[in-house]
Amino acid sequence: MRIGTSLLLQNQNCVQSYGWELLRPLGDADTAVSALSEYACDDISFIRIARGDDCLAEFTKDLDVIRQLKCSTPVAFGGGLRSITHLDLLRGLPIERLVFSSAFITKDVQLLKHAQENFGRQSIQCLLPVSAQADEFEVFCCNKNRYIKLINLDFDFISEFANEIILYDTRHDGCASGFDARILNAVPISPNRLVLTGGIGKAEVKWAKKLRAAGVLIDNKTLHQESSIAGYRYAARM
Amino acid sequence: MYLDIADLGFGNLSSIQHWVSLANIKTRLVDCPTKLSSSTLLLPGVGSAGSYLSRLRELKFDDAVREHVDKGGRLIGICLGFQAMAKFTEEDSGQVGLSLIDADVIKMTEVFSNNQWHAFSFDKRVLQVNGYPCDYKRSKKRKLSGRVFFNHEYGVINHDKEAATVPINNALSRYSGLIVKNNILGMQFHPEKSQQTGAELIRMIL
Repeated sequence: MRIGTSLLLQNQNCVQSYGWELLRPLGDADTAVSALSEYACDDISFIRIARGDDCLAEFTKDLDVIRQLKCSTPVAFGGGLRSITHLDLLRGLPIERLVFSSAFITKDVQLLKHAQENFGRQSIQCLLPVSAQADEFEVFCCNKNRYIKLINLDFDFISEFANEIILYDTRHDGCASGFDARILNAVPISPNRLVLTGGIGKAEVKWAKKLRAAGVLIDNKTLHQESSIAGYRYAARM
Repeated sequence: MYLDIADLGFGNLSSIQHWVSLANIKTRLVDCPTKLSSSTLLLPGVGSAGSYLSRLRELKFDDAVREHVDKGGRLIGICLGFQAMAKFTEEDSGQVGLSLIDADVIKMTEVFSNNQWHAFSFDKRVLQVNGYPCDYKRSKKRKLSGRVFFNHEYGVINHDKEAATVPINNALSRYSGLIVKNNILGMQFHPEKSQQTGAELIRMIL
């Protein structure tokens, strides 16, 4: 099971989020990646905070940050990948995997087929920001700025186009633990294709490993002095 | 001293260049086969086999790569670049490869996808015994132990008993993680994203 970390990008800088609302600065991407490389992090996911008002100009500026990375750790990138133009801008960049969210929710077949042909299905991840509400679950559609019911998603479509699915527990975003395991039961995908994030602590790492999940992404707090990825790796070995 | 990297418009070329630079070797991105001139050619690959092989043929890199190998030049293939060296791949409804190695590429049945780090051990004598020239002598290191990163749904099955093959791991032992045959070296994993192990490996194989 991979133990990676996520880094949110906003205005070309890394930030950490709490509860899908508050943001805390983490510094520039180079510094963040250098620190994570020292931890021998299994992979790094750069996710842009992109909503309905995201534009190509901002996307291009964030790509300049990625372009300059000298990183020997696998990098996934996503947030605002909404057109073939966006995808074509990624050629040659130090990115191994692509993270789509709205494209899967709105079933953008053309975009995902183009991604498959040019990057391979093995590089495609589907990000689902999930919020547990009493007995039902909702997933946030970023380009429409609203939640929709999880049961309305076409998981056959997601399974066909995505290699892995990232389940992001938004209610536990930034928390030291507490990922809501009920989300896994609501998603009809085998755990070996699931990556969990949002409230991933050492206990969550242990049960994710028992479940044979594909991986976990520790919320970007690993860069804070009070946390480090070494402890999570030890938890996975136990 | 420099190394040519085939630029087919696919792949994480900047990562490959950074990886090779760790051995203090310069690289050139070559998008036209007539510009190939180094004794070492690297075929990177991130993408799907159908598009990749079509592009290779469209740009006439297929003949250029075979000619490079026939003349004794070193060829290094990474991930899809490695799979392209095989005779046939099941991906994208079946595609004919470059037939540079006696191997086929099939959809792995043991796992849906191999997106993991696996332990990797490598002895440089494997290269010497199999006729692979190490020209640049960037490292005196003979043995390497570490871990490497894989990200693939299709695996290479080697049929050539005279080629040296290192399996991916015990569970996926029928698939090759690395193959060496004369002047050809293929790697299923991504050495450019395998952190310290990748950095040491590039110095050993050049």
